[in-house]
Amino acid sequence: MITLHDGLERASQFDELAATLQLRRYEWAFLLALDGRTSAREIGKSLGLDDTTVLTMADFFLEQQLIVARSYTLSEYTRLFNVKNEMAPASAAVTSNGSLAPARTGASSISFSLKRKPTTASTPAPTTGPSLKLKPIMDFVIRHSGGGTTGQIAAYRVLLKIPRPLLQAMKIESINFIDDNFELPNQEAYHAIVEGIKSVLNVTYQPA
Amino acid sequence: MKLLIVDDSTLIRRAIERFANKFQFDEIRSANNGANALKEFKNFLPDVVTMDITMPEMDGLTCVEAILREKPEVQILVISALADKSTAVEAIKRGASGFLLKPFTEETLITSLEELFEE
Amino acid sequence: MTEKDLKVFIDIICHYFEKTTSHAPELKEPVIELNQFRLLDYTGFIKISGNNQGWVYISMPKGMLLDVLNCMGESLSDRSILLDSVGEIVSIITSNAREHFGAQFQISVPVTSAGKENTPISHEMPRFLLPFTWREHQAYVGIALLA
Repeated sequence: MITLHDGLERASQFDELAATLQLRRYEWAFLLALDGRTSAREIGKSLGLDDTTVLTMADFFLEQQLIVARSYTLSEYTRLFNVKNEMAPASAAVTSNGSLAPARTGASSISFSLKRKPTTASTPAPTTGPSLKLKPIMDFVIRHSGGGTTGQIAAYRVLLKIPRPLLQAMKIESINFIDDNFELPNQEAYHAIVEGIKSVLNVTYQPA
Repeated sequence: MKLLIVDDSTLIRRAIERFANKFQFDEIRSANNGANALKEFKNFLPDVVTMDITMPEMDGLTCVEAILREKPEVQILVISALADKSTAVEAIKRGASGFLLKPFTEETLITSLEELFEE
Repeated sequence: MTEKDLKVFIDIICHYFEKTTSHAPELKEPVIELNQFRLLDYTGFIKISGNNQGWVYISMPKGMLLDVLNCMGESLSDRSILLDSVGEIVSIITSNAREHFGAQFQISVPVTSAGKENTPISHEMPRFLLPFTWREHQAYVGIALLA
């Protein structure tokens, strides 16, 4: 499963497989633009391709073993994407007296990593992500698009933006009859919906 | 006077036949696609043809041209649900004598056929 | 798909039944459906391409189709004419929409099915359902777009 945010690169057997392929012009352009760093969406955008085309194409290439989704170590990630280690209180932290502590530098982030106990690396951190309940999200969509039939159409358009396997995994029968307690299966589904809302309504989903 | 009805739907072919009975055609035959219509046309040589557009094997507009090559004086009424103006214009350009939009009623079909005969 | 696009379909459905049967249908609140299909006895599907890609379909109970045929003066009532009719109805409704969507709105010949299981549309594809009642019968028009 590939997302639009993945950095993709050509698989080791790419040259061998590519020799036997007949692809469309934009498909070759996409494959040859992969650098393992730029996201699938950014590459697609640079070629004038919409998100659905990019996802469908990338899924197909993945299935054909032409590409792989690149994964990174923490240090690769921070170096390649020029980001600070968010697991450390990098930008600001609340001190014991409640005031904001000054932002740490990049160097401090590295020292934080080194200080971690080896055992904590394999222990998953407790997740305090957003609520996965679907009803408030769809209510947000319907409310923000004017309610009624317009709202239903907006909800439908948001669903069309979600990759099919994720949508199927949600096991929803009908959006109109979602149970208040129905929860999305995972964070990936949540983020896909939030991204869909952004794309369709041009607003960022704000949980109530 | 002989009538050939061309439509891929049995429902529509039967409806046109029922409604057209008012005109007391000597014989009415039908075909379910453009290719069959062309074969039937060559044997039957009708005076009037009603022609659907969206059909398998050969579409109605291609069939209109082929029929007119066989018998230029035949009157062809294109009956289609394709509601954009360009479709009607294209039908007339290819040589159809009239265009009737689906869904039609007995009244609208009779009016369209009468207009065809007046010409 | 916008509300204007949807209204086009609603108007066409109403016009179709009013013109061919002299009875207007009553539209209900739309439903977005996923996974399990809500199909009735006879369904006609049309594949659409162009700017909008996907399927339009109409699903009706047998009793409704028989009543529609009766209103149109059709005396046949076998399975073959029922399949043919549901295909022709969806074909007319979708083709009429070209007046709004333009010539780039391409449509296929209809695919028909009897029963509640057979569909050419993937179950994963979300469907926008327009339930409606015509006389005492309930039916659906569905729109399933690729994106």
